Amino acid sequence: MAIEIVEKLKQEIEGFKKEIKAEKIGRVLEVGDGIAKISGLANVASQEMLVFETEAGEVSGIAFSLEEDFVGAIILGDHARIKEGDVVKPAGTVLSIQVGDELIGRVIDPLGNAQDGRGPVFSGKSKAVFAPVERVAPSVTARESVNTPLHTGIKAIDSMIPIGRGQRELIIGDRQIGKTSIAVDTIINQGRDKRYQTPICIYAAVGQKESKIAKIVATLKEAGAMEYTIVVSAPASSPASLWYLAPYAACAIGEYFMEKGQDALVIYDDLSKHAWSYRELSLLLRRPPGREAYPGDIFYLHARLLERAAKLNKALGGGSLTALPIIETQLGDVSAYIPTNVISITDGQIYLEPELFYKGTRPAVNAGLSVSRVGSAAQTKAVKKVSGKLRLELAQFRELAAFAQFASELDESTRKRLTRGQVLTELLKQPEMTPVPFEMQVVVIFAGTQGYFDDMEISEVGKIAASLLDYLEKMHRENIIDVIRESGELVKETEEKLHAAIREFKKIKT
Amino acid sequence: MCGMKYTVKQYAETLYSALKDCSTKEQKEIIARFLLTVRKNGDSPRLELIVRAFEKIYLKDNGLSMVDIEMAGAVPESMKKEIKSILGEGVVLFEKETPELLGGVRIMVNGELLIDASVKRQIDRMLS
Repeated sequence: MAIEIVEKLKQEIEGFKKEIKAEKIGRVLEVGDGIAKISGLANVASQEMLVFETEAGEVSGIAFSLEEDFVGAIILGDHARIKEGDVVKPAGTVLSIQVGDELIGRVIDPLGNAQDGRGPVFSGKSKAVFAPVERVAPSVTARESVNTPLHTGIKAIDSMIPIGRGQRELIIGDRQIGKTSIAVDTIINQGRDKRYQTPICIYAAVGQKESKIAKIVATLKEAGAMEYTIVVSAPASSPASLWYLAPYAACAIGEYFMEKGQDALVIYDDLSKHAWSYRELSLLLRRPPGREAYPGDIFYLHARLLERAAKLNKALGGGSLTALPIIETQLGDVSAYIPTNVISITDGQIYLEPELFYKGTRPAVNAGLSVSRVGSAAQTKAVKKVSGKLRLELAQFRELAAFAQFASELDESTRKRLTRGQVLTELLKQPEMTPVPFEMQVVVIFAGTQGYFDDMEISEVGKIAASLLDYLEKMHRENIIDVIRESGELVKETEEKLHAAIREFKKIKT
Repeated sequence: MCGMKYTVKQYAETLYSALKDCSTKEQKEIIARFLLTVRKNGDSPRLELIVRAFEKIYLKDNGLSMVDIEMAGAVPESMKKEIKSILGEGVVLFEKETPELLGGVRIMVNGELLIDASVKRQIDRMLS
C-alpha cells in the first residue's frame, strides 16, 4: 500500500512540468466583510476568477467592479485569511462548477464542495466536465413551446394553475405560509408520477437556517426523493458571496441535464434573500444604491437567472429546465420592488394568502390571483377535462360567499352554488407531504364537479373523498385508475365506468 | 471628516509637476506645503497611496522601471547586470533576501508584473 503511494508520488513528480510565466498581479488595498479592494491587476476582465495568495493558502475571489484606481472583488471563502498587501493573481477563467451524474443525491455548496459528509463528489475517474455558473440563456430559435406537464401533486395547482416543463412559476407569499412545502411536495411527487420522465430536481437553499435545510434533506430522503435530487446549500452562516452564487450554480447544474435531453426542475428558495445578498455586496463595493437601497441592476440579477429555464427544441435534445422561484412578501405586499420585478419575469405565480391559511384552506392558494401563463397547453387531457369549470365555479362561489353572509333567505340555485363551492374548496385541501398522483386528482375533482358530494356534511367531505380514492384503488385499479394514467385521457367509456363506481361506493358507504 | 475632494492620482500628479522644475531648496518647501494641504483636506490616511502613485508617475515620466528581486540568498552581481541589459539602463533595482523561497528568483516589475521562478512556487503548485 505504501509502495503504491510512493509510486504515485513519483509519477506526479516526474510528470510535473515546470511553468514560469509573467503575470500582471495586484495587491490587496482593503479587505473585510467578504469583499476586497485590489490595486494593480491591469488586465483583469470582469467576472474573472482571482486567486488571493495568503499565508494560510489560496483563497478564490471574483473580480466584480473594475474601477479607475482599483478592482473590487468578492471573496469566495474565508476573508479572515487575507491581509492587506497580499498578492492577487488573475486565474484567467470565469467561475465554473463541476457537473456530472455523480451530483445526484448529494448536498453541495455553490462552489461544488460536498456538504453532506460523504466525501468528495467526483472521484476523478471520468473526465471532469465544468459548466460556467454565468451563461447566456438559450436563444429564441433554440426553444420550443412548453407542452409537457410538470405535476406538483397538489390538487389546487395541477387543476387550476397547471405548470409545464420549461416554465417559470413563482411561488409568492408571506413567511410560514407553505411556500417551501409546495416546493418539497413537488419534488416528492416527481418520483411518484409514473406517466412522464422523472426530472432531476435541484433545490437551491439561499440563506436558510441549516436546521431547515437538514430537515428538508431528511424529508426527501425518507420519501425516496434524494435518488433524483441535488441540494445546493448556501446556509445563513455562509458569506453573502455564496448566497449570491447559489441560484446560478443550481441553474448551471440544471442546464447540464437539460442539454443531455433530460428534464430538470430547479427551485430557488428564496430569491428575496438572494436580492438581499446582492444588495449587501453592491453596497460594500460602494455601488450607488437605488430604490430600497438595491443596486440598479437588481432586475438583471433575477432576469438572467430565470431566462435560463427553457424547453429546448428537438434538434437540441428536447430537454427542459423548469424553475420554481420563491419570493417572500412582507404582510402580503406583492407590489413591493422585488416581488413586482420577479412577477414580471416569470410565466405566472402561485399566490399564497395568510387569510386562507388561517381559515384552514391549506395549501392557501388564492386561485383568483394565481395564474399560469402557459395554462392548459401543458395540462394532461384528463385533468383539463375535469377542471375546466373548476376555476369558474370557485370564482362564482367566492362572489356569493361574501353576499350570503348578509342575506337571510337564499334561493335554491344560490344555495346549490354555495354548497358546491364549499365542497370543492374542501376537496382541494391537502395535508403537507401527501402529493396526489394526477389520475387520483382526476377522479376526485370529477366526483366533486359532478355533484356526488353535494348531499354530505362539509366537514365529512375530505374523509369521504379519501375513502373513495381508497375504494377505487382497491376495486377498480385496472379498469379506471390505470386506464386514466396510461392514456392521460378520460374517454366516455372510462367516464361511465367512473360514474358507476362512484354510485356503487356511495351506496356502500352511506 | 474625509476629504475625497481630489483623487489620489490628482494629488500625485500635482506634486510631481510642482517638484519637476525647481531647485532642491524649493523642493523641501513644496513638499512641506503639500503635506499641510493634504492634512487640511483630511486626506492624511491616503498618504501611502499618494506616495505609491507618485512613484509610478515618476518612474513612467523618466522612462524608468522599478524592479524588485527576491532570492533565497544574496543576489549575485551577474544577475543584476543581466537584468539591466535586458530592461535597458533606466532600471532602479531593489534586492531582498527571502529565505523561504528556497531557491530560484522572484522578480516584480513596477509592482505590477510578477515573474515567479522560485522553487517555493513550483512546490506549492505541485502539492496543490
